[in-house]
Amino acid sequence: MRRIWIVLAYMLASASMPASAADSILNDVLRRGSVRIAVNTGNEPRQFADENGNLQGYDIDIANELAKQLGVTAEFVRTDVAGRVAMLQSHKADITIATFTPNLERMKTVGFTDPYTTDVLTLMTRADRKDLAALKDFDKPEIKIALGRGSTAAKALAKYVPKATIVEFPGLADIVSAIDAGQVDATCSNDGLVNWTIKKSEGKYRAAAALGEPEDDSIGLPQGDFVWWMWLNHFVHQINDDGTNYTFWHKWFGDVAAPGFVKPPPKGT
Amino acid sequence: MIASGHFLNYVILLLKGLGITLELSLGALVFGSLGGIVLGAMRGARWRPVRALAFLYVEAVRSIPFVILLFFVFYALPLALDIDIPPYPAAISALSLHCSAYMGEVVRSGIEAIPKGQWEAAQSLGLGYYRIMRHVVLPQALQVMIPPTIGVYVSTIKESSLASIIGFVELLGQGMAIRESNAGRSTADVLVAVAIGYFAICWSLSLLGRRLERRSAREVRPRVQPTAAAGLQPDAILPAGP
Amino acid sequence: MAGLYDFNLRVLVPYLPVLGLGALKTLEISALAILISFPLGLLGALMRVSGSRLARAIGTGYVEAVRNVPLLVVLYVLFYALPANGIRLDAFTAGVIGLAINSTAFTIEIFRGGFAAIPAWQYEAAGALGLPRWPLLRLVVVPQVFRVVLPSLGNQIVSVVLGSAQASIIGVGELTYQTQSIGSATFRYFELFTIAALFYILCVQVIAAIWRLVSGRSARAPLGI
Repeated sequence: MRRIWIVLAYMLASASMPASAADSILNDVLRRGSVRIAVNTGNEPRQFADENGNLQGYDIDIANELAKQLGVTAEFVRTDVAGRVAMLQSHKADITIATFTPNLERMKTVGFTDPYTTDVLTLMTRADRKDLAALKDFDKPEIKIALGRGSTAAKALAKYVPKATIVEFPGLADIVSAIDAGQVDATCSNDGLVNWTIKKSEGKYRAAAALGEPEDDSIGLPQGDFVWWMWLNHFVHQINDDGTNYTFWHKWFGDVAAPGFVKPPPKGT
Repeated sequence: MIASGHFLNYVILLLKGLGITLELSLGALVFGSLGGIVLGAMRGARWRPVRALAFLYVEAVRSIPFVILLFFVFYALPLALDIDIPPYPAAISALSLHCSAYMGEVVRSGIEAIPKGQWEAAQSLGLGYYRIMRHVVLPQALQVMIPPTIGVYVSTIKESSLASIIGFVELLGQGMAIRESNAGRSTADVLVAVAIGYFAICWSLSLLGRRLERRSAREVRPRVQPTAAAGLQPDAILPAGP
Repeated sequence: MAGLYDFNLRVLVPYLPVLGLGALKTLEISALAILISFPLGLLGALMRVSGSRLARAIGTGYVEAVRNVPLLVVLYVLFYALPANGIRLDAFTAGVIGLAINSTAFTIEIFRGGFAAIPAWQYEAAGALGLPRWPLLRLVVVPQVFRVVLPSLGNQIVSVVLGSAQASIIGVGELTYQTQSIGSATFRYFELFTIAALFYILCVQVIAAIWRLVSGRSARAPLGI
């Protein structure tokens, strides 16, 4: 029943949100002693909850490093793909670190730093589906590709395999079930998640084809706060250059080559 | 088949999910029943707008699939009201809304099943509203209300399985997660286990309902035609007509 | 963003045909499930009132099992678990069968209630007239049962239509699925779910109106109770 109280407290709390901060968010964060970071879960190995419900992953490591550099604690706000934008807009999160790709459409509503990583949309299928070898094998109306609701992969699929049929499911568990049962032929998500799922399945699935080139992922922030943007952007460049990001990358993605802008630690340290 | 080494682990996880389903349902049943009583009382109010409001609410909620109600609370309300509603509060609110509408109908029918003559007779004996309710109407109405209430409760518990589709890990969600982590070698086993979990809750509730019904039947002999009680369907949804 | 929500239906105009097709699919899947479950429900109820103990046990077992398990679990079993046993149903078929399995259990209970409402003296009187069991059921009992259960059958149709929304979860492209899908592209969830809710309310009201007409007509026929 404890959760019911949390719900009630929550409703009260959300009714008393400040409308806007006249100051920079950076000052608020430092004064508050914590930085509120909107994250998605269920996106292994970038952001996910382990068996004990603790957040883990590459993006979480980046977020913790960011909090460390600020000298404050990281306060994670769990949300979904749609929720992270709303969180920034309503100033309920100070930033989002959640495989968030900048594009001109999104930049009309939220701000982005320079990229700290990349991801590439990848089609994953069952290993025994030998008929699905290259991208063109997917471009048929009878091929069903499962997506999670709200996935941005739909746009890429419409571009690269316009004839394939897209079926949307509530979550990853349903998608994997549908692939196992042969109800759909493939799914499409970022390469990190695809590789992770393949590794976990012990050879049951394989990556079939990539859709286009890698896309940038950046830290998202509310629009119009230059002081905050400058701090975040400098942070991104620093971890990209000093090897911090490189270490995180290989911790979570193994032997996969890091993007060119993520530099290894300088020799001799 | 599930590998035997993990078997105990999976059972524990499923039991955890069962506990969360129970907690979620219990919250919804408490809020829903309270809401239902308020709605039932509103339906009998003297002031017409109050009656109309309760009628519209009950009819609307009972005419919308629970999935839509849940999505409305989870996806649409946060956008419209500029607030954030995580899965747990969303699920418990939607379930409570659902349960309260059906309970409102149960309460209304229960009170209406008591013939007006009894009110008049009790009033002529000089009893006030509270005492008539307490000693005459409620004991009989409650008995008439037991079977449909159990029906609404069972249906609410079953609908709680839909919380899994907005990412709340209750019994069904836990089952699907186990299935996924086991790379799908045990779909049927896990789903059957999940089904047994729901069955255990709902079936025991039905048995409890039948026992309560028998016991209260011994205690109070209602002056209600049995057909009126039989006509009270938990899913009765058609408006009574003009 | 603060302030009143900008309720905007115009952005959804391009999607109206898709929503319309979704609504048709909702009606289609519901109609099929009803057409399957009503005869089966009558059959099951006959089993539950029959003289054979085995038939009664099967009928009761089915009703209790299905009524106490969520529809979504039934749909998952049909869609995700059956293919492992060599039976692959597409989402639409699985949706229809799942809804029918669910609705049959409730329909059995409705018809059983109808049989219970027929007073025992009718059976005795017919027995005294020398009518054997089957013609007795067919000529005397079943027509009366229909009149008794008609309102409840109307409710059942409504609950099948409402239940059909759950077929969206296994990927049937009915109304709820389409609102979800368009919602994740446009973020106009508020408008979309309002449209969907209004459609379902309209459906329920139309079913209710038709049903009042039908049952009002049959109520005028003399009832032997």
